[in-house]
Amino acid sequence: MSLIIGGFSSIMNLPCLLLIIAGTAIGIIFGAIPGLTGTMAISLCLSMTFGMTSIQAFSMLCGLYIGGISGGLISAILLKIPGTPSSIATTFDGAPMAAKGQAGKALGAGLLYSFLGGLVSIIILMFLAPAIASVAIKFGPQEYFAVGVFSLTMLSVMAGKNPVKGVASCVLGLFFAMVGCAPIDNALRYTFGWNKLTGGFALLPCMIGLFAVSELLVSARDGLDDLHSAEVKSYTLRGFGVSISEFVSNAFNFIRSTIIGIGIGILPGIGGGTANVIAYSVAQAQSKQPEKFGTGCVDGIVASESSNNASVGGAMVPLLTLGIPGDTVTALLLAAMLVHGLNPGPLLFIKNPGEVYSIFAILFVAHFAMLAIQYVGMKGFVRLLKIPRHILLPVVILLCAVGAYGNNNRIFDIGCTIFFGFIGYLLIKYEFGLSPFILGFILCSTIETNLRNGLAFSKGDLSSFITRPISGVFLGVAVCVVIWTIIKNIRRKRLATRQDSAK
Amino acid sequence: MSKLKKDKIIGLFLIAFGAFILYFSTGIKMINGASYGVGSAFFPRICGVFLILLGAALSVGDIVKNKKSIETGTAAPVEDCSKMCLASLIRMSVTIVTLVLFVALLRTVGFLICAIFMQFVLMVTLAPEQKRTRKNILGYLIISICTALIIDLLFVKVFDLILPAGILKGVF
Repeated sequence: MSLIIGGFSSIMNLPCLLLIIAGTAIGIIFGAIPGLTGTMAISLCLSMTFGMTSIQAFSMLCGLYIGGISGGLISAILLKIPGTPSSIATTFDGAPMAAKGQAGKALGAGLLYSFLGGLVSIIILMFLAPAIASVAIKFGPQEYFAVGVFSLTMLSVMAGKNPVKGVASCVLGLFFAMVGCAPIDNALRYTFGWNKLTGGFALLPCMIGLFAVSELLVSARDGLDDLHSAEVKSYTLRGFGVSISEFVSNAFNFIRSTIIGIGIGILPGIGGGTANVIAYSVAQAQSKQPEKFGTGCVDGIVASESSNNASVGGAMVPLLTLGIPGDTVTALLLAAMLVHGLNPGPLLFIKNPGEVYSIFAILFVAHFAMLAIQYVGMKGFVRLLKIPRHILLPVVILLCAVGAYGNNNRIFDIGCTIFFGFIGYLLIKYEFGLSPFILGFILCSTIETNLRNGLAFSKGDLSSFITRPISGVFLGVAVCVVIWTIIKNIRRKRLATRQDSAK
Repeated sequence: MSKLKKDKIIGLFLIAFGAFILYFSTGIKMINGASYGVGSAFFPRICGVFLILLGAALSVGDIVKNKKSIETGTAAPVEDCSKMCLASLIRMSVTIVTLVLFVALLRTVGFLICAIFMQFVLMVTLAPEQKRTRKNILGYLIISICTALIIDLLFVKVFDLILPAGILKGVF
């Protein structure tokens, strides 16, 4: 308890509070404008945090995370375009409500349940993360290797439409992380005599390229629509739009969606983008009036918005306790932690408990900031929806280039950003998915180092990876997931063949 | 090119890339005693083998699908690559060349000029056709100059980052 109080007291100063407010506001803007995401906001603001203390830096970055997730509901309801993947399901009922003249009610409900879902998940994170960290502290190399393999398997086979492409994307990520000095013996790999590659590709330029530059290339390919032509629905915001009877009747829906959000957030690589759609589907399936969903019913907004913000707390659990990012935003937060000298993992709770509990406190306060900023500044955010993306994107790219350069003061890193941007573009174009590549890139060192250390500890005995209970369970589950995916695909193909022959 | 044929080519590319990884893994120096049987070449080799297998799975799967779709007469339509594709290709090429020039000229020309050039070209390239009037283009130039100046001042003066000054060294 004293650690929690300590965390709150360390952020209760003007610079931190201002950074939380600024971060949340910028995050909301990026979340609200279709085509820009919270991930991109963190990419470009990361460079501004280099000169800050770690707590100040995370005040801004966590604010961006919360704002980025929540901001998507504005465009989902008023433009019928989800600002971020986390708000896809909000569009299903938010847009019909806006069409019926209930945009204010939809925005109010979305705001309220984003706030509540996020807040509950942060409270759970505060108590769950230290407990998991106390278990993870006993992990040896075998366990770390198994958790790494489990995370990669889960993400690769479940992230995209085609598991083969998902796994290939992950393997490509692993390969690019191997360039440079190998762990343990420092043997040079794939540098081709180029000294600049000796240190390998830095994480930050790689991430910025994959998220921001690839988006620029996709926009260049598809061309940018003029958002001025999109009709923004008018609204009047009174209270939170939800009556007491609606609040009571949605209590179970809220709890269930929040649990789904936290659970999905904990699973590696599957964040708010999946959580909101699953929570919405479950709410519809369990509803007494499923036919109302999609016609402008508050229950749908409750499910979508509470689950996407709840995934924030969930995604932070594997990041802080094991150093494994739960989604793309937490992958960037991992990079930020490394830049600020924090090594995520169970030891973080022992070495830097002050910083960990400060992050919890920042996430908690950022939810209040998000609620207040969106409620008060809604009109301003709606106006910002009209800023043309062909002006915003080049500015974002320039800031990202500065961020990549500022990491090590090397122009080479800006080159890497463009290179990875092009790789990201190809991965998106050919439907490989970015998330498996990123997780492969991040986890390569963990998996390889722990495999080699594990073999060294067990004197070359591979069976120790299976006989140790925790690593055995994780590897077993990973194998089961692969088998289940293969069976599922075979069944799907058979069904498709039957349907074709029936035609 | 149809999606199915694309998958076959992607599969072949993955096989070639896997072979490249395997071939160059032979040059990785093994340091005796560093580990039990698993040296620094082990992981790249695993990756290479996986990529070859995955590439083969993608190509074979694609060939089988293609065969079936021809038999059932449900072959995927060939993409129409007309004016739309050309405009897209031009935008893509200009964007990539601009980014490459930005990096190539950064040290010699300096951040400020490169930033103005990159932003201006990208804004004009990405703008919808009706937003490319003379007045708009002038607006893009002014925005590019202002944002480049603000970012340069912000990072150099406030965040103490040393950005390459290039030919403007001593001026700012």
